[in-house]
Amino acid sequence: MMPSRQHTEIPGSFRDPSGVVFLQDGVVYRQINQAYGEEYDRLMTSGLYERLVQDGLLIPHTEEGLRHAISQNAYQVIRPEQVPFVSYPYEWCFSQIKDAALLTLEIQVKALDFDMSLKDCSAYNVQFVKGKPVFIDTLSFERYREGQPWVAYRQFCQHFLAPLALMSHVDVRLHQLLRVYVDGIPLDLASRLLPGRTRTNFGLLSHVHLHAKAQTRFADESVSSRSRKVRRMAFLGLVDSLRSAVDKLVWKPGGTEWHNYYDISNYSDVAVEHKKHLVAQMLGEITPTPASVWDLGANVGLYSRIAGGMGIPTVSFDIDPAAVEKNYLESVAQAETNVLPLVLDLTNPSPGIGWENKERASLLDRGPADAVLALALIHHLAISNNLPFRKVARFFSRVCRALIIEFVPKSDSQVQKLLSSREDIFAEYNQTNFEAAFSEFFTIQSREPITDTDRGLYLMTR
Amino acid sequence: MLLKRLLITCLLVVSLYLAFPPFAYAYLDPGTGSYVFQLLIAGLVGLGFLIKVYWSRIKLFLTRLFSKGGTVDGQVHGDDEDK
Repeated sequence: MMPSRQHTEIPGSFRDPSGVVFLQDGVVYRQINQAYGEEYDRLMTSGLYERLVQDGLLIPHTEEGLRHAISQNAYQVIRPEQVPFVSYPYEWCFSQIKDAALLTLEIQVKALDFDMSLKDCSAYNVQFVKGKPVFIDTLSFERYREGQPWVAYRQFCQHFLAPLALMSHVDVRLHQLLRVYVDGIPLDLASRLLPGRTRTNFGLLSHVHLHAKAQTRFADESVSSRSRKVRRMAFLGLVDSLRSAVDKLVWKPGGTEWHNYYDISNYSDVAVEHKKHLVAQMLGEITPTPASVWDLGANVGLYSRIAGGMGIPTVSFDIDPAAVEKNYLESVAQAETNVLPLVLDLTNPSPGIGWENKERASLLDRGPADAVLALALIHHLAISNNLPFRKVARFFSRVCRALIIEFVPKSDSQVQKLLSSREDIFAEYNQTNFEAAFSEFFTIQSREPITDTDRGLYLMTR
Repeated sequence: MLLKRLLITCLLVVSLYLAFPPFAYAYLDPGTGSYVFQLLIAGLVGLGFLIKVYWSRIKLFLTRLFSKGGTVDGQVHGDDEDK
């Protein structure tokens, strides 16, 4: 077998010797190495793969044979269903992390029915596809041997239970710790940050607090291991206990800045309807029809749903975890397949993290999108964050090919609110300078005033 | 109820702390603590899970046991229906 055409290995899969994920002609493939061949066959022939795919828990794939192989030790190459946008747990809201955790445990229980088990429990093994969490690491399964402990127990606690507990009991923004700790939040840190009352919760007491104590106690000690076994019922009990601990953790949006934005904004119903109409119209004017849309500053996703409704996979970013939570719950309730809500601070977007800063891609490396919506956003960037128009325009030119952007003039009551608490040093903030700065990077295709407001909507293309 | 749960939790804390004797044989990786802890906690929650799974059977068994020879509201019930 000769290694085939040009390819790019996707960083992030190198830790697992079972295989490698790579990009070839714009398509993501996964090579299964000979060392994992037996386990892969077991997954495929035991009925587990079929069951998990049928239940929508595991990403389906087709076998491509060795014509796409990239090295001599290839056993098989599979083409998984493509994930439109790869997102990371530090970009997920509370319920997204919780759903991903429950999915992982459900898969573990089902795997045991087929005498298989998950050998790792990384949150990065889950992606949101068509509105639902789905397990994407086809090579995470191994044969279950009676008596073996769950090798992924610690990872599950660090990747799922600790972040959820911190978000639920301390502050929902603490999922950002996952951006610092690429292999999950250390349990001793989680244990220190969690309030004392969580020690009366059986699940958190055992899987976080005592687990952390045990890690410290045995950190540099040797233990006898071979004779120790975890029976199947105990294994199932462990998974059930984790499920129960996760299930009990809740977080209700409220008390944050944006989640009730549409109740406090200055839009009339007429203005909202007109803006919706204009957004749909401008999206329709983009040729070819965008295959991806990023809605930056999407709040609860009102306008993301216009793009989603047109069948375009749309990522709905907002800085406020409460707005994103509401957005996600709405997407689940309506069984939407095209809207992916994510938490993102646009002034400090997700960087590349992990080994060589490449294991998890930065926001920019996951773009560009075909189109970006930047609605009621410019004044927050230019006035709240002192960003010159030119820098904003340059950034947008790097993340999209077509831009639908709303200009909010100084006369607007929302801008006046922003200016009420700071000195007006923004003499340059006007429509003429806005158009001039954006014209450096884009061609303005159309501009439309929004009824009942001083605002205007622009369609620009590169 | 809360007090009972609290007591059970405290008891659990004590019993688990006591259950950490210093073993010293083969070297394990940094996940050693997690490994040892899993052996302990899995045994405990496994027992709970066993009871949960078989709870309906246990309940049925106890109900039958109770209804055959037990007392309800202080009155002795006959077992004529079973005969």
